[in-house]
Amino acid sequence: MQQPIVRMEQVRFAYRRKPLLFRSVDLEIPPGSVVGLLGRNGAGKTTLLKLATGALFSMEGSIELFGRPAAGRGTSGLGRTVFVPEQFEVPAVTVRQYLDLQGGYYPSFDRDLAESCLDRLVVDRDAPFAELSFGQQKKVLLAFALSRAADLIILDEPTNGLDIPAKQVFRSLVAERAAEGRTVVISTHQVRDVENLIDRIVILEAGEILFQATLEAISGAVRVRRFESLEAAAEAGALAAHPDPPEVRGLLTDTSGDVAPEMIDLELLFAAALEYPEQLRRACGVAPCGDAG
Amino acid sequence: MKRFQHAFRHELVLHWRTMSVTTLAVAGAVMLLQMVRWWRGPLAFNLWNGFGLVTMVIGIIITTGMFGELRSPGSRLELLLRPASVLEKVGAKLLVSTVLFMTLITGAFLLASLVSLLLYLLLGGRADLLLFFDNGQWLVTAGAAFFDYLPVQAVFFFGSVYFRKNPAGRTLLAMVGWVASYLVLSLAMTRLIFAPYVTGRYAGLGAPRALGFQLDRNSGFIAGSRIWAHVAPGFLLSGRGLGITVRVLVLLTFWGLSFLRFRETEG
Repeated sequence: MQQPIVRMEQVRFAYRRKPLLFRSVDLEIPPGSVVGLLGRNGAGKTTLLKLATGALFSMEGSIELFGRPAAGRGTSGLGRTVFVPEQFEVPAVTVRQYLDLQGGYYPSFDRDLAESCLDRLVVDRDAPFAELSFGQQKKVLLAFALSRAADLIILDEPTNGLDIPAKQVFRSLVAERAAEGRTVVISTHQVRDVENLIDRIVILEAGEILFQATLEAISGAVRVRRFESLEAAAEAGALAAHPDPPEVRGLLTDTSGDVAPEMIDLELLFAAALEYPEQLRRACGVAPCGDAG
Repeated sequence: MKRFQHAFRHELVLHWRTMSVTTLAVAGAVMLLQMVRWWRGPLAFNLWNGFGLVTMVIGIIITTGMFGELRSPGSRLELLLRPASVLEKVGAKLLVSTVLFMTLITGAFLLASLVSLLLYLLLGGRADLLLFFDNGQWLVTAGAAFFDYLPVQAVFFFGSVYFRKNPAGRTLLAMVGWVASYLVLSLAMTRLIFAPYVTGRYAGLGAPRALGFQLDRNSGFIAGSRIWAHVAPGFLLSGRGLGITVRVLVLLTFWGLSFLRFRETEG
């Protein structure tokens, strides 16, 4: 079995003078997967990503990045990782200079690919980076991250601020990197933007890894069905249901019947995981993956 | 080495504009202030008299801005996860705020001296022209200023890594507090240790003679050279020896602390 890209064991963490956020988190991110990290605000998604890269240090437990302690921030590990944060500040240079400055640290950086990504995302390379809008700045960061041939690409709320065409380009760029076997971790609230990309889901809730499974396991265990009303969905035993006028879509663990299966709705899955985590885990055949924090 | 060169280039690009504009502006301002004296006719002047002070003040401002990325969560993460070693990242910032800064400020003063000299000649001045260049000693003056600047830079460099908010003010406050507590403590300690020699009926008469040295009433203070004269190695007693030793110690201590602090910094 291949070594996981990120391995967390019994990680305990709290920010200074704040309540405990993670009491004992275990997580493994296998190579070549596209992981969707979902969770409500304050669940600890960004913190988990920072811990994984060594930007934050855990109080207890071990965190390994490419088989080495993440907290050491070794150049070999960081050189194989790229992290696009949700909040960022850009230097007073042009986009072209930015690519030169950042790309210089990475032997695997593909300048031509970066320029082609910028073209696809419609960004002016000679524009002063700091004077671009938030969305345009985000595009530059994404273009750089996705042209770096990094083994681990971490994207925190990547589609925030992107326009509709840019979201489409973003999805195709991520799919291209995934096809090359890169590991991509996407933390997001906007699940519709990444629905077709991810093959593994990790759901965080209140500092706990509530549920994690591959999409393959989930698809075999749950089914989305349409109902006339929320009441009808509840009667049928739906773990979660959302109005989708003129009908209601519900998530069931009962996969029998001859109704044509619909694609897994991540919003429904997320709602079900929050409401009935144990049932969902049992249905998907996955073990509890993190203690309450 | 290649990565360090890139880290240095990175810092250079980020700070170049601020540093060059600041140093040129300051040298220009100093030059203009000197020229104010020309309202009755051109006078030869030595621009380099203020070089040490200007270097110190501007150097502190530049140095405390070196870890500006740490003040904002958005840029802090980028700096911490930049794939270079701590030594390379800190070393690049160090090089920019010492060697590069000194080169720039010296260059700016040279340029200002040259411009002043040309204007002076154009206005018909005839005095000793070498005065504009510190009587030919500008390089010595710059070297001495660099020598004085380095330990101060080291302290503020550490302050820049350590303090998230207002690093210049907080470092200055910490220095004042440290010096004050050091003086009070040393005074108290010296008074306690040498109490029999500096107080009471037999002050200055008894034991000091037995130890082979004489304390007077004003030397009950650890900074007093007369105490040091009996306990410190000989080479430290020359002003130069002590100066070099203290500077090297301060540099190693504070640059080392900066390295350690940066390594422990979290995003």
